[in-house]
Amino acid sequence: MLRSLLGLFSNDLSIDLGTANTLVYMRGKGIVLDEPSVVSIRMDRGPGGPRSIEAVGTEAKQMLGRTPENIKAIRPLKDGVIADFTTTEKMLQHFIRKVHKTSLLRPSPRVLVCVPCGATQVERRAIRESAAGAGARKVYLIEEPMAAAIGAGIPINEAIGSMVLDIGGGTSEVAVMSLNGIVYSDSVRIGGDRFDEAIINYIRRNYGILIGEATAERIKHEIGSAYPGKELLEIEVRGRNLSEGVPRTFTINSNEVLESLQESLYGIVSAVRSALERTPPELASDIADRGIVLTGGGALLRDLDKLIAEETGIHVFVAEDPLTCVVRGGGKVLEMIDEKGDSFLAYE
Amino acid sequence: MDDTNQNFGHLFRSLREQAGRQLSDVAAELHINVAHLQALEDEAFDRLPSQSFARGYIRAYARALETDAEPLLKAYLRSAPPTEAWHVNQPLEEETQTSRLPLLLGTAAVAATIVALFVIWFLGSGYLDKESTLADRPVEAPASSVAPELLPMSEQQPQAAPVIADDQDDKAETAATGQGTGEDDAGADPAVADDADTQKEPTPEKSTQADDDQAEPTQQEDKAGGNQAASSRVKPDDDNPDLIRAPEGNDKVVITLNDDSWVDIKDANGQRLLRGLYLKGAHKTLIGQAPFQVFLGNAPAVTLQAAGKAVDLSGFVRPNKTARFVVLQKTEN
Repeated sequence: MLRSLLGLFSNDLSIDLGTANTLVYMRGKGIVLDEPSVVSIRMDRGPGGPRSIEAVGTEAKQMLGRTPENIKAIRPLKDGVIADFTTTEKMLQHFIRKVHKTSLLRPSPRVLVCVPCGATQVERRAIRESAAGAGARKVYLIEEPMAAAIGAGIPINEAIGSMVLDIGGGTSEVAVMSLNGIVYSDSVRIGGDRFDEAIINYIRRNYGILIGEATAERIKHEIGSAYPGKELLEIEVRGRNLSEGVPRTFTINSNEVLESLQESLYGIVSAVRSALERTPPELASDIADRGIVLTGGGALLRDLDKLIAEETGIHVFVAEDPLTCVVRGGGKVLEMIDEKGDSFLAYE
Repeated sequence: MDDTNQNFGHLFRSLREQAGRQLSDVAAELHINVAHLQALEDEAFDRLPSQSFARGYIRAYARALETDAEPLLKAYLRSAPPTEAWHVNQPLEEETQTSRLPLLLGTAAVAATIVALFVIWFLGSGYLDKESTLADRPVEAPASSVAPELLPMSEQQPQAAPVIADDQDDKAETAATGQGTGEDDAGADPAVADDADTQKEPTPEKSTQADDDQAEPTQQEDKAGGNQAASSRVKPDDDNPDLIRAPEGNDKVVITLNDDSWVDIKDANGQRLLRGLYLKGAHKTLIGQAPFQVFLGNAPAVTLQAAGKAVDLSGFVRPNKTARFVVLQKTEN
């Protein structure tokens, strides 16, 4: 009763709790928060001592890999699911308070959280519990590709098959949808993080130089591509030479990055292929006619759409504003939930 | 340029022809169905899939022709028919405000009503001026004609009386069931001190023993408070403790208890003639100004005679055995 009264003073939220970034969409306001899913924790009296939150989000991400002994910057989500329950709860609490900054009362919104379709029951329960622990009055779950499709503006309510490939930080989700439901879905634990890792490993193997995650991410953003392009891009990076033990500067080009990403990219392509194989023929023909929609941060990897189109022979296009598709889709569902019911939602 | 922009289909076609390419070539390169590209060039919106797909095709097509997609997309948006797409990126503040304002107002109204009701109750309960009500009550003129007519009290109460009666009702009921009444704020009610004496006379039982123990502090308080309100004191006759006479009035009520019962009787001037738990066999004669307000804790065990006539109490007995009524009600001519 009290919570529902408090709920009048808080806005419903749609949260894309991603491995790399957390986005919050506030009903009636649009996207109000887009921050990295990073929390830095201060442990003044050693690992067993009391822990306090030092920073959350962008501020904490800047600390990643640059922290002293008593501060630990961690990413509480791994492969799209919660790896550190308490920290995730604290992070969500921080974000919910942050977007309700003007409110005097303790916010108690209804929250819709996106979950990977491959998440197990335990993982879904963990997400639900941590959102509830962060102060949510009611928690709804939605499958990520469903939210991504709605956010990309695909008419999934029609009796026409649509395929969405959502490449996030930790997972890639491929799903075939029709009539507001998921016909087939698969989740592979390959995403932006795996790309970064692949680049780090490649450079260590071939150059004998160790680079950090942040540097690997910068390389990926600036010269990363999934398909051989016409021009060769180069970037100058710094890392620690493993044999000499001192920092060194070196140059890497886009073809090398492409080579390093091959294995991960192949994993995604094969997931799409197997999805197409298992799709009922009527829906597969709809998909072949209209194309595959690419969403998520991974869609920003240059020419990824081209790679998948070449590999599958089906047109692939990147949705507009692919990074926010999922959270916008969640937001749309939230807007409709009172009128049209919860047929989009996922259950444990 | 603006003119051509408004006709994106033509622009596509001319760009493609400039590049010297066939539609089927571009379609094969992009893996888009030729029919869709043809529909784009013809601007046949009914042959295109939904807007998000069409926009994807335009961007891919523009990229294949190595041209900027933005002006083409704008041109497409200008001429495309409105779809049922949800425009949630645009703020929906008006909508949300209209839908939530009644709820907020409703909550505020309910809260205001609750506060208002509480204030009304607090003022109306007379809690603040309860003591003064009893002590400073003006002495009313004696009624001229009195008839032994009975009416339920609720209809005939003087204005201030029901509230006081309600307040004491709870205490009376707990006392009637043999439980403690130590909390009695008898400062306003000095008659209890004298009544307590009568309770001690018969053989003590368990219930009365407990009651007496708790009655002692009450008596002391009563005596202290009684001096202040000495004017309203009603004393039993010295010779006959069962005869209680009010300073005014000559109307007579006789009460006999066949079992233990709480009894509370006031005369027309608000003088309390009898109040307390009386034991089985008690027989009291009260003389005062009619009408009398009577409250009985165990009504079936009580016989009452008013002005020499027996009063039938059966009509007043409530399910919890209590009764509350007025005897010797004066008739209004």
